[in-house]
Amino acid sequence: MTNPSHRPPFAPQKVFLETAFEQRFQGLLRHAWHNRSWHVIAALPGSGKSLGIQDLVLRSGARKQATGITSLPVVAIRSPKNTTREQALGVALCAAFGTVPSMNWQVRRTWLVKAMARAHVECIIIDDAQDLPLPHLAFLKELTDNLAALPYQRQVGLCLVAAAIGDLVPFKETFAGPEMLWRQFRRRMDAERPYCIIQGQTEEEMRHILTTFEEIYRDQFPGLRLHRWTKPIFTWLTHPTLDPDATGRVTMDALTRFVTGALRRAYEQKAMDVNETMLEATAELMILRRDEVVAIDDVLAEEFPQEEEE
Amino acid sequence: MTIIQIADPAWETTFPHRVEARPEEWLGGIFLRCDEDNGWDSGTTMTTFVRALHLDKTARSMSLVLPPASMDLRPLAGWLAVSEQSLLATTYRVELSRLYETPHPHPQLFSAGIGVHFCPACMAEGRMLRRSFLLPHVCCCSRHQLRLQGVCACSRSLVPPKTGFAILDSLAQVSYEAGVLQKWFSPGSQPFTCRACGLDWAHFPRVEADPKLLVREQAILAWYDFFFSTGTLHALNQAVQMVRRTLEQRQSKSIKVLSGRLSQVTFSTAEKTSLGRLVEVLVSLRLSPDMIEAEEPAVVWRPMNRQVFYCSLPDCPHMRSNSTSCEARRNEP
Repeated sequence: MTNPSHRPPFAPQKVFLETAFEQRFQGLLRHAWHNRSWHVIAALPGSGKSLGIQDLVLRSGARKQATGITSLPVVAIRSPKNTTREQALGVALCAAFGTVPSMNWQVRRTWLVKAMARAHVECIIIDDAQDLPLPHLAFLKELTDNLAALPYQRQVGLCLVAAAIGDLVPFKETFAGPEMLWRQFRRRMDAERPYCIIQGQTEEEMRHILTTFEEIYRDQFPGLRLHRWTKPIFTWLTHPTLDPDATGRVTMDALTRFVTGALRRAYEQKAMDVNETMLEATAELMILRRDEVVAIDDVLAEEFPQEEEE
Repeated sequence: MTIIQIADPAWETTFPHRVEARPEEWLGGIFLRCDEDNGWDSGTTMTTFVRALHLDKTARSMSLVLPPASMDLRPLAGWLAVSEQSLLATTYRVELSRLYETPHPHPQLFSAGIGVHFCPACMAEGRMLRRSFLLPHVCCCSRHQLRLQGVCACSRSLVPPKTGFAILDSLAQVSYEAGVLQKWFSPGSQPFTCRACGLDWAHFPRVEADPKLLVREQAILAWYDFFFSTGTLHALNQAVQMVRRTLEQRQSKSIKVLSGRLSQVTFSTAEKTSLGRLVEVLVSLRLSPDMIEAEEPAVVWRPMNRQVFYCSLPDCPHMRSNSTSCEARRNEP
């Protein structure tokens, strides 16, 4: 049993939760991987897209053996920012393989095709794809076409993972354009689910997450029973401030920040569980005082672990 | 580190495809295998390595036989996620350091060949470039009993372009007939291929070595083996002394060396004697390592299974005088 008077500073837990959203999201990524299909996948910012991609890559079986054999079934990169040059995307894709010597762009673009074929790449995932400019999309098409052609003949899945605003899916209108490149892109998209929006957590799904949080924070809060507050938390987190598109769903980022904030507050009060006051205060901070400007006129007190005195 | 998972931070700091040193492989071969496995031009890894160390262009293949102090192998070890020791073992730095009793022996002490010598059969079996191929005066593969190759005949069938100047044209003709001298690292070419015609080194002609040459080669390798496995400066000194004594006995200062020409033999001190030159003279004089080993003093030894001592008392109740055993008197009637 933890003694509240001698507790160490509050330690937020950083773990990946395989939530219902992640199951839906990773399920689609796996579908693209195994069927070599092309999709544009959108979800609200803060849903957990990047963490989901990272988790998928970590469990994809990528490895480098000392015998020269390297396997990288899923290549995941973030879309290069502030540049429209195709080299930027090429360099980002090369970096996914590790350290690559400097070489001119023409050599590198040829090498990249060869490297992807040799490492048995089966799926390419581009995170933050809403930022991809036309030259990057054209390069992706060229790259995958080269892999599909002789001598490699490797079909590769492609997932453009983007942040969505409301029901708008990035690229849908672009790919509907009459230009040849977009027509070619459209032809390569998956026939059944070319454009997908992954929905956030429902109230019931959120209840499971809260129960999981109870387990994760059991060491610090032996009496924690978060799931009792599912209804009010869901109501707060679907407030128009946090859910401006009125999706009626909760994002993982908002939920995690809410729970961490409430637990920190409870911890400071040496409580073993959260109560209504703490949750309301946290909700007020996140909803009503979200954009409040705070004047800082003092040194912020940081919590550092205290060394135990003998 | 046999396997690197993507969760390992080493994933980002290692080359896309890793290679590891094999027993008796030469460092230059590792550079080339790394190029080949990663799909890079010949010399890409070497160039990256030289740049990482800020070395000038003088760091050539010679340095890969006996790396100087400035050639830190740690960057390469990091890119391949192998130990620095395993890379050092592909050079002769450790052996030469022990032999000359200096941490960084001068490259001239080795006088290793900088020309390209490879065995086509070893190439075909797994791109194996043995470090022994770099040893001075070694010209055969002892494993396959083939002559080492280093020149491509691709230019012999070609006619050099005419310049209009007879001397230049004849020089070009001679050059074409001599063939294309291979280089370890040729930017713009595939690794392990002729830089002119692209012929794979594994497909170079396999010329069987002359039996006499193989015998001589064994004598050369026996000397290197002796110096590298057990050699110290003392052994080097003994070899130099043995050469001097032999020359005194023969009352000659010149000998017919391995190339067939007469050469005057002058050695100053063992510390300044080139190993390649010394081995050449030793083999030319038909001396063998066991002659040095025979000169080594016998090691003093004693039994360790029983404590043996003498008693100085003439009437010792336990032992007889000058006896080596205390049981001796006890057993007397």
